[in-house]
Amino acid sequence: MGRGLHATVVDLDSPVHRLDPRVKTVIVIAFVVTVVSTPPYYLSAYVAYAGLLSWAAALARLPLRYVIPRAAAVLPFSVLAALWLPFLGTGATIRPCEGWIELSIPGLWLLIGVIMKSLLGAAALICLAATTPFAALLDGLRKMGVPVILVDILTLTYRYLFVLVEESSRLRRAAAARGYRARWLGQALLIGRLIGQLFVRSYERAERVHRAMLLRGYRGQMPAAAPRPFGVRDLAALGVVIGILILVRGVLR
Amino acid sequence: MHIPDGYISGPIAITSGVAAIVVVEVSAWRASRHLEEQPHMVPLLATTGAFVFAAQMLNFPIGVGVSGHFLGAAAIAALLGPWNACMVMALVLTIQCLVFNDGGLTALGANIVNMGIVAGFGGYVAMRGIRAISFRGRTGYLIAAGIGSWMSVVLASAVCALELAVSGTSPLAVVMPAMVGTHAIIGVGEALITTAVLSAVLASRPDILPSWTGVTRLSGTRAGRRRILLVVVGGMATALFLAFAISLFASSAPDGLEKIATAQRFVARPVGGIAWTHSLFTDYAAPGVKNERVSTGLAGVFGTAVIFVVGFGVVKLLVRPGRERET
Repeated sequence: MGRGLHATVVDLDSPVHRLDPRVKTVIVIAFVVTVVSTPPYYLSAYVAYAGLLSWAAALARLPLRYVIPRAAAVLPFSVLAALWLPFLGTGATIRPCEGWIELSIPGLWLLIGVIMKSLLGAAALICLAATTPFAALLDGLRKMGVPVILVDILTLTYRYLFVLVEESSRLRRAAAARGYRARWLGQALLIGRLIGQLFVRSYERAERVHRAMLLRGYRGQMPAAAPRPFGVRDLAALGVVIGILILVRGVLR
Repeated sequence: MHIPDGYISGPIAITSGVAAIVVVEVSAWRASRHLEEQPHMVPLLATTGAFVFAAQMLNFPIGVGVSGHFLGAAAIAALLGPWNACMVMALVLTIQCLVFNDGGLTALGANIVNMGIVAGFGGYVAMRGIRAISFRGRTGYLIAAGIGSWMSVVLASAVCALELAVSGTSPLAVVMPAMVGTHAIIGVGEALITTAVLSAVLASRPDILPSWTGVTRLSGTRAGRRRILLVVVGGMATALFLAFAISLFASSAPDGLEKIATAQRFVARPVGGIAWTHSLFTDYAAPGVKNERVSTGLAGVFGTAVIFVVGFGVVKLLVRPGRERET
């Protein structure tokens, strides 16, 4: 979760990095919505989506070892929500493993569908986050009409995220140094004491930060950079990607 | 409980997205309206968001090789009110989605509804309700916070299961027990943590707790003890009744029992080693009871009783008479 690799990737320079954050946000939303709305048995469409995404990642000079392990982090959710689908679904069935188990074909498609969709969605978000500094993303959101107070709070949240994560890992290290190892549920109480400590510290940090902001002339709104107009390149990228998506979704089966 | 892309249908995504936007807009409007009296609200909500994010990284064990983490909505609702809790959770979920790819973009609305609105308001209403019938004082406050935060996690997981079922991803009779069962255990961790957090805040910064806390000392008197007994027995009876009723409902859902039975038989093998294969009540059924429905109901009652006893014991441990303080 540290900033290590993330920082090295965001600081790269490529045509994708230089696109307007608003354009990238719209492209990613369009991509994810298109993928999610595609039935799972349109396999060639899914191949095309994966191809489109790999092309974008290659243009952005993102290494695959950065994208794939992070995208795979969505898989555990299927254990809780979808892994049993092939065993329960109705309709035609197949019997692999010498008839030991019976798998429903619609159930299998559902499972394959959610796995493909969640992987592609996650990979698209990873590409967005890896090519756009969060501040730029927020600036884009502000220009897209998200309330100023929300964007301001998001900016500050992100700013203090790393500070507090650092603080919580210090607390955890201190506990580990005193022999803490996760063994049973009752230990949540001890974690709770650490978290209580963390809350009091974060509350007092907010009081200090607010005084510092007032000293620097804060009057209820953060300063924002002047909007940059869309370039030809931005509009072209938007047009090309949306065109490809419409084509793939409409034609490939 | 972060739903990735692809698990929920279009109508559910759009409905929950609209609901999330409306609630977050209202809470932003409320926060900016109160900016005059509470000018430090902007940095406070921000550091609280960062706090929730950091606290979620401290895992606690829930069973054989599985761990859960703090959700935080109920604790923030108790500290800053339900509207601010919704906003903080929405901010955290947005950052988790956009930067750390936890939860899908099309499922962001649903995740905000579950973990922000349902958990925040549900937990808050439960806490206020329990607080109202509960005895005054620190113990009553902490018990209300513990039970309320347990309910916030369980409610959020139930709504999450409902969304998955309505989306056609997973049959209700399977996903509901799986989600609610897992989170009934994770919820115990949530209750322990919320109680510990609030007791830490109570100990070091009682001035930041909201007015409904009303921490005055009552235990020690005879009437106080009788009231404690009343609340504990009443609360326990309600919880047991609910558990029994919900278990009956869950198992009488459309061909639910058969489906759960098949699922358990097949899923138990590949998934092996997770929670219920080792538990006393294998397949959520009490041993030696023939009628399957009654048996499932009994297992639910037993689980609730254990959770209640553990929760009560913890509050007792946390609140040592000598450490009570007046505010």
